[in-house]
Amino acid sequence: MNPITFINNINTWIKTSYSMSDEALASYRIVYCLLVFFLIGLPNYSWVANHPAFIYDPPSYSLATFFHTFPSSLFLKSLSILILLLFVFLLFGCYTKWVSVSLSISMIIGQSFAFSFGKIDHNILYVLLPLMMAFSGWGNCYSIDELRRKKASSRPWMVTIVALVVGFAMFTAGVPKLLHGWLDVSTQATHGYFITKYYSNSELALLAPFFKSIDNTLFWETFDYLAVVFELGFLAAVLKPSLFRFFIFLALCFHCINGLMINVFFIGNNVVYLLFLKKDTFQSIQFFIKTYFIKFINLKSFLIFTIIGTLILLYVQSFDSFNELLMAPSVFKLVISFFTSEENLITAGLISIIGLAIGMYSCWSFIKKRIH
Amino acid sequence: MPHSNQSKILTYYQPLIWFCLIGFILCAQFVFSIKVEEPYPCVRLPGFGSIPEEKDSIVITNFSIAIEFEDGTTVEYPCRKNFPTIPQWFVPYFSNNLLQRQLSNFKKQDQVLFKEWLRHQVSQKIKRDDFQSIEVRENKQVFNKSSHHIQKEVIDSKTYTF
Repeated sequence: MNPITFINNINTWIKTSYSMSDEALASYRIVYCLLVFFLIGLPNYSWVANHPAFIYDPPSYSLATFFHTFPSSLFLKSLSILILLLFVFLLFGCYTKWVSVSLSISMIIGQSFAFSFGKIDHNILYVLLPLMMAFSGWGNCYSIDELRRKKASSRPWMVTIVALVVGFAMFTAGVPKLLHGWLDVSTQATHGYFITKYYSNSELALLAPFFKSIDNTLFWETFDYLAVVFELGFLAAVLKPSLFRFFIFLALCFHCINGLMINVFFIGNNVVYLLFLKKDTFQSIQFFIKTYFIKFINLKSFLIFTIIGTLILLYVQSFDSFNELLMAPSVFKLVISFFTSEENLITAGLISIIGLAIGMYSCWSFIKKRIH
Repeated sequence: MPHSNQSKILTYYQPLIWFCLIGFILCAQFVFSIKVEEPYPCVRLPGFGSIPEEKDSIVITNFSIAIEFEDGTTVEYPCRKNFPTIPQWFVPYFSNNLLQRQLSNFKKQDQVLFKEWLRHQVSQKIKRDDFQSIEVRENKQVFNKSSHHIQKEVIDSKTYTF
């Protein structure tokens, strides 16, 4: 094949394979923000302050390395409120491009300090998503930018870049497993980690006793193989959108099993996966937004939302407590916390179930189409 | 006009340029995180890696604190549940600091403040502050895969007396 044709083909593939309409991108923007407000919770870093300098242990290569101790409470509270405001701006699509960039940068600053206790958490996909989508044109519809006629240039192919980043992130989880011998049949790594977690004095996952009772080498070795093949295969799956969507469905199942086994849910990732919903599934979300949400895209609702959001965050911060997921409680968590102390677990479970249900519906409609 | 043509070509191939650029950055940061140290931010998900097994057993490391009260009674708690202001999953990493592995070069004054902070943290959680001493322990548990028997031993400890 002629090299120029080859390059052109790749360029066209990037442009078209995952491309979405401006309306679909805008619907995703709204769903992303609504999920953060009502289900997942806003990032909150106020709890990081007031820890002594002796335990300050930032990653060697991060912004936090330039400091000798945790920042002041005022700084972290202000940063958390800024993030809240940026989310409101993003929801209403006001200065969307720069708000998206600022949102990711603000979260990275906050997390650099939150991860200065000696451990880095891996919710990076959720944090980088607004930055990657900033230039896609996700603020061009259902937004104040649209009302102001300040549309940005549309680059729907940025979704292909997000697919590459998601696939690569999964690949990075598979490589260490491959290098450390997870495919060696004489050891069962998944079983090893499960037992380590089981006896680590943390809360037991819902199905932990059931998994503990399974004493079958083949069962545990299958998990080792599935984990390696699934994580490494994710990157290759980027090349074929329908296969990538199937891998997204597998990822939802994978996180669900992890949650039931060791209480690790990765709920932030689920929000990112939503971007790869099949077009017809997305159309129903789009219909919902067009019918109900668009009425609220005006300055009055924007101000009301900002004021209520800030008051809730200030209320949460006044307790000087932290949330187990580095986030202020979402509306859902605040409500159910009056009835149970397991609000984090219930929310994580609910998000996983919703993700899984949407994934299964997507899979079913795909199979149905193929049959017909 | 050659300049205009050039910009047209660049605009046309923008998706490919971005795709290659992001791909290169992803690879570079991943190699750096493996060869040197994981930076933040870094597009990486937890790989777990090394298998926590030794022959027929699984080795588990936990941290706990043994508190001796003024009335002579002693109680041992897992570290994970006794630091109200630190997320649970950070505690095992931060417990290394409690064992003063990274605190050797701290000033004496800092050590006193650290002890006070530790006392405050623990008393907040257990609602008592009549401590004689707090001992931070690193425990090794060995889980035997065939017998499902678990054996525990203390492999390192540090005592803070009040």
